[in-house]
This record gives sequence, structure tokens and C-alpha cells, in this order.
Amino acid sequence: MARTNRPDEAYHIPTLNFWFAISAIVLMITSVWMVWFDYDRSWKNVQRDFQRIERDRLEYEKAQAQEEIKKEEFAKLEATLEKAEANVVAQQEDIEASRIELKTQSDVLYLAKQNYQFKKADLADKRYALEHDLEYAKTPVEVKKLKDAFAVEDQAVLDLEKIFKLEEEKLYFAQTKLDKLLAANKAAQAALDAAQKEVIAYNKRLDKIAPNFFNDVFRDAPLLDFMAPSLRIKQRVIPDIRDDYNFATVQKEDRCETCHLGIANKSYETDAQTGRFLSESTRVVFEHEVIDYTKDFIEEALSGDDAKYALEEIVTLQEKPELSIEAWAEENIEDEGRRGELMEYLADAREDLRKETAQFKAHPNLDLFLTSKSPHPVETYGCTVCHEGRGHAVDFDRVYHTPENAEEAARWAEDYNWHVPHYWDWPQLPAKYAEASCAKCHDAQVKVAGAEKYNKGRELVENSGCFGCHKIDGLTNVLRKVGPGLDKYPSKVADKDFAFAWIWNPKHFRPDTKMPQFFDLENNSAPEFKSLNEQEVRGIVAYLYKNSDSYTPEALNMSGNPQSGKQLFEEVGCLACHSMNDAKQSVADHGPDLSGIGSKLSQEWMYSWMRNPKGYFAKTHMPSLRLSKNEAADISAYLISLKKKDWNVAKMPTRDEALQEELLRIALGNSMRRTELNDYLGGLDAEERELQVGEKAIGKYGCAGCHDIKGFENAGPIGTELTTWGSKLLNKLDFAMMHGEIPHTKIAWFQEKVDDPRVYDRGKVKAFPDLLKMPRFGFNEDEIEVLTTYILSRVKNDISDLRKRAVDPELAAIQEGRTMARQLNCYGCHYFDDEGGDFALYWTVNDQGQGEFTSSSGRAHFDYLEHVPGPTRGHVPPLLLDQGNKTEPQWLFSFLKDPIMLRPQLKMRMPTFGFDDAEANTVIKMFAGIEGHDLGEISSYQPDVSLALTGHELFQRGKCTQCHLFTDKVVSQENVPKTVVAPNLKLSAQRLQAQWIVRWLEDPQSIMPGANMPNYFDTENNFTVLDQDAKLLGGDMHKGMQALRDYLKLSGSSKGGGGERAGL
Amino acid sequence: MEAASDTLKMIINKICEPEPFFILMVLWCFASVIWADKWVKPKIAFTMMGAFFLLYLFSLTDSNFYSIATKGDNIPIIAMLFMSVYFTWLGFWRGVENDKRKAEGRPMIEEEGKEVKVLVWPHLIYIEFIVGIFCTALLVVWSIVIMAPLEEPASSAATPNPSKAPWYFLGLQEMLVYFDPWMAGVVAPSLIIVGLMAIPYLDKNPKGNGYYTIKERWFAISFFNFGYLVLWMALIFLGTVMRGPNWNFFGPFDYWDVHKQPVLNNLNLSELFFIKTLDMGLPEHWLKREALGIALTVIYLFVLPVLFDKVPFFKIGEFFKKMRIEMGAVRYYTFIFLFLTMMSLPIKMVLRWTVNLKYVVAIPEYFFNI
Repeated sequence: MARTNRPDEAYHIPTLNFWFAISAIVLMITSVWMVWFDYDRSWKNVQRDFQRIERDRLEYEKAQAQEEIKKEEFAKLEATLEKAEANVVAQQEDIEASRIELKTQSDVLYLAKQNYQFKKADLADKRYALEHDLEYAKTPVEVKKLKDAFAVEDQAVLDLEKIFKLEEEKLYFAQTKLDKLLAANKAAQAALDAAQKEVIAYNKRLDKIAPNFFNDVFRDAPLLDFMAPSLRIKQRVIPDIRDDYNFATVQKEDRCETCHLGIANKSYETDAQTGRFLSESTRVVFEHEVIDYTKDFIEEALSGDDAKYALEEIVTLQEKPELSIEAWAEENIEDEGRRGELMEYLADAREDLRKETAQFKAHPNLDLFLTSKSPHPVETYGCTVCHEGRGHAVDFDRVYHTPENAEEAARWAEDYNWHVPHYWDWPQLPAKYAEASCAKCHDAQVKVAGAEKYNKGRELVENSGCFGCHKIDGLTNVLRKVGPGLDKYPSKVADKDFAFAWIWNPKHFRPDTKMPQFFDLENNSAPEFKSLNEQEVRGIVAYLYKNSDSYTPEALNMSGNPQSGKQLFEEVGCLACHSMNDAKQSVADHGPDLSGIGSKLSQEWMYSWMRNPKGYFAKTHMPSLRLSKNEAADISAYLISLKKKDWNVAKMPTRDEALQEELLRIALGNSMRRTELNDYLGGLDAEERELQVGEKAIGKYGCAGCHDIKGFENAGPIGTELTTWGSKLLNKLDFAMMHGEIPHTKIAWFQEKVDDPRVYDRGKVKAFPDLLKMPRFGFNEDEIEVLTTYILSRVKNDISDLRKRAVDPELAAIQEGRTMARQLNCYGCHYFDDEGGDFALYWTVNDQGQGEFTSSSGRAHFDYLEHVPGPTRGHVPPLLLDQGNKTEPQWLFSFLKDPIMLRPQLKMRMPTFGFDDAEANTVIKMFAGIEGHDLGEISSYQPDVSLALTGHELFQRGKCTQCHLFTDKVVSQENVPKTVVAPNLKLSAQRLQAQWIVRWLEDPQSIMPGANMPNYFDTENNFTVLDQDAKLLGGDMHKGMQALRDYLKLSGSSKGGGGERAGL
Repeated sequence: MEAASDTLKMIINKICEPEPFFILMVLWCFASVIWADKWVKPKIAFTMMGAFFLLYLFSLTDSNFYSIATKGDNIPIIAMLFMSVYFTWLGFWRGVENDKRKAEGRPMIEEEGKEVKVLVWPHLIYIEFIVGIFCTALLVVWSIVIMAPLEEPASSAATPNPSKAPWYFLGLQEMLVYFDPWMAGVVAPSLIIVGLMAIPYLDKNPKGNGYYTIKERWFAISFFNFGYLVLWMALIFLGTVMRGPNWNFFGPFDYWDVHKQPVLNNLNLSELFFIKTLDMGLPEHWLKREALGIALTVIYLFVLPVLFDKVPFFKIGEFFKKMRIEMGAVRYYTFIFLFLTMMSLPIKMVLRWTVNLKYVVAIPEYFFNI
């Protein structure tokens, strides 16, 4: 600053003044900047955009409503009103006088009311004084005096009240008088309003958001907007759902709707594929905006009249929402260059608009979410409880939105300056994994309706046995281990070399086996590790063959016929669970693929296994198909003939004592002192050491997580617990040296891990015992995606029980039953619960009307109802729709435990699963639960004999036996009439519930879409093909159906036709 | 070009390792006083500052350094570096100028115009006001441009790594690497405060009062610079830029890899003596075990001051003797105690680097470690 030479001054004051001015201006500018910075928030512009669109949309809808008003009627109403108004003008004087009278009277009343009320208040005070004085009054005279004085006051109030009431009445009369004069006018107005009710409602809504200086400028002005701004953050406080901030939990507050303004609005629903708005009004508004964008261009690009004409054309376009401006241009602009330019320009306009309106889209599933009628209204659940992210934030970036894919990430980076979020532990779930959050409240359900990916993920986890090594609450120790028990293994596979080869790489022998690969992977394929691994596997084989129970297969006394075995194998139902990839028969993947099985198992063992699976492995899911000795021999002869091509079992490596000792030193080194270990190892011979190596290896690799192994009965899961993996913090994950290769997100980490479980050893220098051990499953991309959904659903659950899906007995029964149905693969044959029935893919109907087997490789998205035609359905396992209402529980109980013949035309059989009472009940309860009820009381139906007689006649007329059998006798398959495609009706008495029979007769299609059963009774038109003359039962349809029901109920038999080869 | 810049980065990373960094800082501290008249010339000084700034700009091109230096928290620390450099130069420059004037018999800078008196208003308050307004504007702009460095909600299950003290305590935190928490966190800070409070009572030398000088107060200046610039500022810089996850050391251009393993092979003096040197076990009783360390500590704190005074170690002995005579025995011993305490930090650092010394005296039985 300017110093001076004057002795009395240190600084030159005018210069200081100058600097002071500068500083003041700088401070001013920065202050304005500060205010603007605080004021200028992106969400405000979003709200302005939405207001504009919403305004246009309502205008359009209003116009539509206006058009719908019937013109003539409206004109009539208008005329009436006009007349009434003319009348009012004529009576002007009277009306005016009456109005003045009314006003005067109301003034008078006002005064009278006030006088009365004041006096009354006064009296209350006096009453209190009286009560007080009475207490101290000594003589009766005194008391009387006081009371008299009060009585006078009391009377005065009553008088004033009278006056008030009187004036009130006068006012009423005055009002009535005026009303009478105006009545006609009012009625006409009301009629008119009623006719344009909707338009008025739109006007009201439009008024609220109409452009308005006070609202748009004054209330929202910087610094003034602290009072009552019209643009404001829309916040929802969600009851009973809390956010955990580590040291405190706070009620969830979501501000998502600040920008997502159309999220719960049906008018903003979009098409899932194109992303375009569905509702007409919104689409039209969108087109309007495109046209607005284009106007300038057209005026510029087309000269004079052309432009004028074009714009006129476009304006009329607005009336035709089905046309797009592109279509118009295609037709009307001939110059190709021009048209190209316009198209480009339009594409830009659309892109801009897309960006602008992206956040206004409605939720894709409003029936299930957000709306007040849906099960998850936004008031109760909010947004971030499912989607995660930071609900408090209102800036795009700070919400921690997560893009679906790299493409979207790039687009967001451009549109919103988006970047990979830090500093928030729960970023938004990408929409494709949002179903993970369903489990927060629906974890008790095996299947959550509408959450396909989650369901598939859960199923995959259950099938792949993830829970064997990783503790997952609800699965680990609840479900059976996924692999077969190995305690009798040597009797199944005698060849140790085969066992070695199988363990070393299971996919080598059977490419689609569930058993994962542990060895010869990325991190352990180095020679020094490989040789150690080989010795470990040698040990495992030795251990398994040493520690086993004996099993003597049932003796096979014949060689069997492979040809008939093949046919039987294909038809009887094996392929509902197993596949035979070599023969291109690969619909099912529940059991193992049996291609080349002859290279693994002996015929005798297979024969014995098929005859009685539980005899070998008590917990097996494989049921008995009640195969006769001949049948089993035939099938086993067929299976043994299937040899794997180019398969020679290599000899397993020889025992290397030095390496085995090294392995034991590694395994035992931590628990024994050196000398102790030396003594211990010295005391073992080579074989014992090998067994010891095997035992350690089985423990190390967690073989007992999937298989029952002797000596490992109490082994626990060896892997990381996954129960709350989804809540794990990112910084707890080891990305190893993968800095640039994969994004540092939990999802990316997980997907890389399941794709290549050893990937995080890459680049690390590790000793043998420290190597990652998780085996490789070879999941494909879709599987990884559903697994991701599942793993993200495993979160710390802090949702209040009030918000969770309550576990009532019905739900519990369904879940237990579904788990069982899934494990036993009921879905392999039967369609119910919206899935299953895939076995039908193998079947067609031939010219003779018989079911015929053809090889099939399955269908990617199989839907029984859609893909299995009616005729085929008669020859494949039945649908189990409405099962909970259909069969009598007692009958089903005995059927499940010991199936009887029901549909002799079928070539496949209902297997015997060996259910105990509890298991059979579980299945029955599940079917009841699916239909939304528990079993309740079981009452037997008492049929009416006389009605049944009529029923008999109807039964005859309807030719029921053309499709149904109706017999007590044994009918062998060859003797079943070709036309029969439906169950034996003789069984109906015990089998079917009475009321179900009526429902079925009334409308079979509503119970089983696509059913073969004709609709005999058309109740709507009171018409029946069985009784065209309406002679029977007075033509009463319901009576007719009841008659049939009673006939079936009375004519039944508990026995089904049986046979040695009972198709059921 | 890239190769050259990589080499440069590698060299800087090496230089910035604690050992060379600290040694260079100590050397600079004394060299700056010894060659004050050379480097304070504006041309040289500003060239150096310019080079320093260019180096800073160059460093910003490195993504690792950039992410550290531009963190909202760290910007004041970077600014502090430049300000420390500037004001140190300013003081030195005036001191050198004054020394020159004194030698030529001219009046000091501060004495010029001494007889003229002006009014507080407007000559003081007005400019203070203007500066105040500019500072306010600066703070407003700063708060707009650099957002508050808010992070995720705090969690006891996931503490930040590295966990850093507030920037002004990073020097103290660095001491924790070398000392027991009780020493580095309680005793040392107390002594720093006591020592700073004691300065006016210990220093009765009138020279340098009211004017800058180097020659007349070279020891005081070196001593202050060592305590403030080296042991405080430099350690704050080291703590900010070069201490990464797990409090491991990282060069300014290194990636802060969480997986870097710290080497923790430090030994107590007793272990060095009994195990490494005598190849025998540690004595059972702590007093026997720690006798050597205790003796050394006592010698360092209480015998050394007397030795400084009594034994003529060439010039140093004479210097301390002179000091004792000028200050008086109480002041001298108080000063020398504080001085030695301060010097224990660099000594401990050097011992850590050279022989991996953990504690000189380690008595975990009584939670006492030095």
C-alpha cells in the first residue's frame, strides 16, 4: 500500500480509500456468488422442467376432456343458464333489495350474538362469585339475597339469547328469500358444472401450477426462499425403517421424489424396451417439445411458404399422437439432404429431451410398488430401503446413483458429471440387482413372487451347495448336503484311478457336473504345487476307500435288453431329472448327466441302485420308480452300454513319501512341537501317513461340506460366512494386485471371485498352505448375475418386523413344501407354482393319439402353459394347478405315500419317494398354502342320491368316458382306448373335493388354461350342450353340475386300475 | 521425457524417505544460518522459491501426489509450506541486511523513521480493516471452491486408514513412531508448552530485541529453526504427504497401497545389549535388565550438562561455559534440560534407523518406556 513521505502520515489516505472501495466490491461480488451458489441447485431446474411438462400434459388432458363433453347437450345447458341469467337481470331490483336485507339482517345478528355471548361470559364469572360467596354466607337471608341477585342476571342472559335466536331465524328467512330468487340460476350453473366436471378439476390442478409471478419469482427468489418457496425438497420420513449410522440409527428420510417427480404417477409409465412414455398425454407433450425444438430449424431450412406450410402441417400433427414428426418428414420433405439434416436435428432434440425427462419416469412396476394400493406404498417403504444409495441427498452425484453398465456410466459422466462414488458404504444397487433387497423382508420365502433373479440366485446357491462351505443362515444345516454320501463309495466305484481322476478334475469326465474343480487352477498349477496336490488327492482317495461301509448290491441274474432298456429309460421318467447329453436329451439338470455312465459304474450297482436308491444312500433325492427286476435289468443293460468316448482312466501318480511327509509337516506343524511331530511321523507307516494326508486334505478343502464322509460327521463350514456378506464394507475385500483391471466395487469383486475363485492370488507370492482354496464352478454370465443378486441380498437385517412379510402357518407350510419340492424335483414333471413341467418337452402325440418320446435339448425360457399344447398334456405328467382345492387331503396323503394308477395312458410313472407322514403332510399343506388356505377342518361330503341319478344321465350324454376312464379294473397300457387323455373318474369319489368338481365343470379354463376338458356348462348364457332341451332340472346349470358331482361322488371306488407297469 | 520425469520422481521418493529427508532438513537448518548472507539475496532466494514452486507444479502432474495435495484438508498444509519458506526468507533477509548495516555503522532497518509518529486511526485501523475485508472475501471464495471434506459416516468397525491427527498435530503423531505414547503424547507436548513459556525467562540476552539479526543470535535462530521448522513443520509435511495406510512411509509419488507390510523388527536397548551383544538371556528383574538404559538416560539428562560446562570439548565446551556464566546456573540447567529433551527426538530417530532401537528403557511392568 502506498506509503507517503509526509511526516504525519504512514499511508496515502486516498489510495487507501481506493483499496477500500476495491475490497468492498470484491466482498460484494463474493457474497453474491455465495448466495447464488447456495441458491442454484440442480433439483430446482428439474422441478421447473417437470412443472412445465406437467402443465402441458394437463392442458392436453383437459382438451381431451373438453372434447368428450357432448356438444349439443352442453349447448342446451348453456342456453338454460343464459335464460336463467336473463331472468336474474330482469329481477335485478328484487334481488338487490333482498341482498341488502340479508346484509342488514346479518349485521343485526352479529350484534345480537355478541351481546348474548358477552353477557353469557359475564354470567359464568358471576356464577363463580356466587358459589364462592355462598360458602361464606352465614344466614339464610344472606343466601337468599345472593341467589336473587344472580337470578336477575341469569334472566338477562336468557332474554338476550331469545333475541339472538329470533334474529337468527330472520336471517334464515332472508337467505331463503334470496336463494329462491336465484335458485333457477344456481341449478343451471350446477348442471353445467356437472357436465364439465373433469375440465373444472383440470382447471383447479392447472391453477396450482400455472405460471405466476408471486410463486415463480417472489417466493423462489434467492434469500426470500427461506419462507415458503414453491420449489422445495420433497422429503419422506419413513416410519419403522431406520438408517444405521454406526453410532446411532435414525428414521429413514428419502428425498428421491425431489427430482423423481413422476415416479408414482401412472401418466409417466414407460415402455420397458424403448423407454418411451406410454400414456397418450405424456407422449404428446414429448412430441410437442420435439416440435418446439424443430420449429426454428424448419423456418430456417425451408424457405417462405414451404416453411409456413410445414409448420401448419406440424401443428396439425399435434392432434395425431400416433404420428411422429419423423414420419411426417419422411413423407413431406423431398430433398434428401434436408431430410437427413432434419433427422439429425430431431435425433439431437430427442436425446436432449430424454436427458431432461429421464428422472420423471414412473416406477416400472407401479402395481407392486409405490402407489397407495400396491403392497409397498411409498409412504411406508420409501425408496432407499430397496434401492440403497443416500436418500438424504438431492444432487445427482451425492445420491450415489449406480449405473447399470459401463455404457450408462459413460453417459452419466457426460450428462451429470457422474463418477465412481467414494465415501458412502451403501451405493445404490444397480437396477438389475435391486431384487436383492426383497430378501430384507421376504427372506422367509423360498420364492418371492416377481423377484425372478433373486429366486434363481437362491435356487442356484441351494443347488450348487455354496452353503456347505459358507455358512448361510437358513440354508446351512437346514438343507441336505448337495453331494451324494461317500460312506459306501468303494462299492459304487471300485476303480481308485477313476476316483483320483474324478476328484482331480470332475468336469473332465462329466462336463456339466455340479462338483467344482479344485486342482490344476490358476494359482496351483505350478509344478511344485501340482505335485503336492496330487499327493493330497491320493490321500483323499486312500481315505475314502479305507473309511467306508460295506454295501452289497442286489444280485443281477440276467443280462437285460439294452433296446427295451433305452425305451424305458426315456419314457418311464428318468429324463425328468437326468439328462443324456450324448443322445441330445438334456431338458433336466437335477440329477447328473448320464452320458458315458457305463465307463464309471458297474451294471450290477446301477441295477441295485435303481431298484432301491435309499438302500445305498438313505438321504438320496432319487425316488423309486417301482421298476421290476426285468425293467431294472434292461435299463442297467442300456446304461452300461454307454461308454465315454476316448476315455481312458489314467493311473494315478505314485505315492511320494517325501512330499506326503512335507504335507503332514505343514498340516501338523502348528499343533505339534518339532520333536513331537518327528516322533509322531516316525510312528506311522507310509500307508498310515497317506491316510493322514487324505484326512487333512478333506478337512482343508471342505469335501464334507457337500458329501457325508465318515469321520467328518461334525465338520463345520470352512469358508467365510455369507449370512451378511452384502453388508460387508468394501475395504474388507482384498483386490490383490488388481488395481486397474476391475472396478473397485463389491459387485465387481464378487463377480470376479465366482468367475475365477483364485483370481485374487494373481501376482501374489504365496506359500502352499496359504493359497486360496475356493473351487471353480464354471458359472456362466447369467448364473453370475443371479448369484450377485443373491449375495447382495445377504445383508444385516434391521427392518422392523412390522414391515416384514409375516411368517404365518400358511407361508411356513408353503416354504417348507417348496424346499422339498425343489429338492425332490417335483417341478421336473409337474407344472405348478408358475414353474416346472419341463419333462413335457420330450413328448408329442402321434397319429394314433398316443404319447411319443422325442429327444430334446430343452428350451431357454420354458413356460408350460404356453409351450405345451392341449393334446400333449393328456400324455405327460399332469399340471398341479389349484391342487390345494382339488384333491381330498386324505386321498392325496395315501397317494403320495403309495401312488396308485390314475392315468393308465401315461408311459411315465409317479415315483415312490418314500415319504413319511410328516413329509406327505408337508406336500399337502404346501398345495393348500399356495391356494391361500390351511387345511382347516376336513369334512366329508354327503351326496344327494336323487340328484345323482340325473347326474348319471348327464354323464351318459356328455360321453365323459370318451376321454376319461371309468373303471375299477386293471387296464394295461396297451388296452387303454386311444381317446383317453384324462384321469380315471372312478377315483373321483375319494380323490376330488366336491366343490372343486363344480368349479371345474363350470369353467375348466379358468383353473387350468389350455385344458382339454370342454366347457359344457355355460352359466353366463344359461346354456348347456348336455341338456339342450332344458328338460332336466328345469335347465338350471348349477343344479346340473351338482348332479354330476353327486353322481361321481356316489359311483366311485377307492381302487385304481393297477398293473405291473403302472403308469400313474 | 517420461523416463526423465520418472527418474526425477524416483530420486525425490528416495530423498523423501525419513532418513535422508531428516538429515537434509538438519543440514539445511544449519547451512541456512552459516551461509545466510549468500542465499538471502532476493535473486537467489526467489530463484530457489520459484524452483520449489515449479517442483510443486511438476509434482501435481503425478496422480498420487495430486490426490494427496488437493485433498481439502491438505491445502492449508501446502500453503503453509510456501508461507513458511517466504517468511523465513524475509526474516533472514532483514537480519543479513541489518548485520551488514551494523558492520558499516549504519542504523538498522527498524530504526529508520523511528522518530515519526502517526495516528492509529486511520493509519493502522484502516489498513487492518481493508485487509480484513480481503481475508473475508478470500475465505468465502475458499469455502465455495473447496468443499468441506466430508466423508462417510464414522464407524468403529471401519476406521480410516491412515488414522491421522489434525494437521497441526502431525508432528506429534510422528513422534509416536519413536516414543512410547505416554512420552510422545503427554510428556513431550507438556514440555513443549512449558519450554515455550519459559523462553522469555531463560533468554535474557537483549540482542535482537526490536530488530532482525543473524550474527548476534545465530545459536538462538538455529535452535529455533531446528525446533520449529525441522521438528514441527517438516514433520507435519512428512505426516501429511508421506505417511500412508498403516502409518507406513510412502514417497510423495508412491501409490498408497494398503497391502504394504510394515517391518517391525525393533529391539529394546536391553535386548541389543544382552542378547545381541553378550549373546545371553535377559535378566529376570527389570532393574537389572534396564540398568544400562537407565544409566544412559541419567547420564544424558543430568551428567551431560555438567560435562558440557566442565570439560572443554574444544569450542563447544567453551560455548556452553560462556552460556552458563551469562545465564546463571539455574537458567542454564533449565535450558539445557529442555534442549536435551528436544534433541532426544532426533537422537532416537537416528538410533531407530541405525540399530532398530525401540526403547532405551523399557519397563512394561510399570508401563514406563523411554
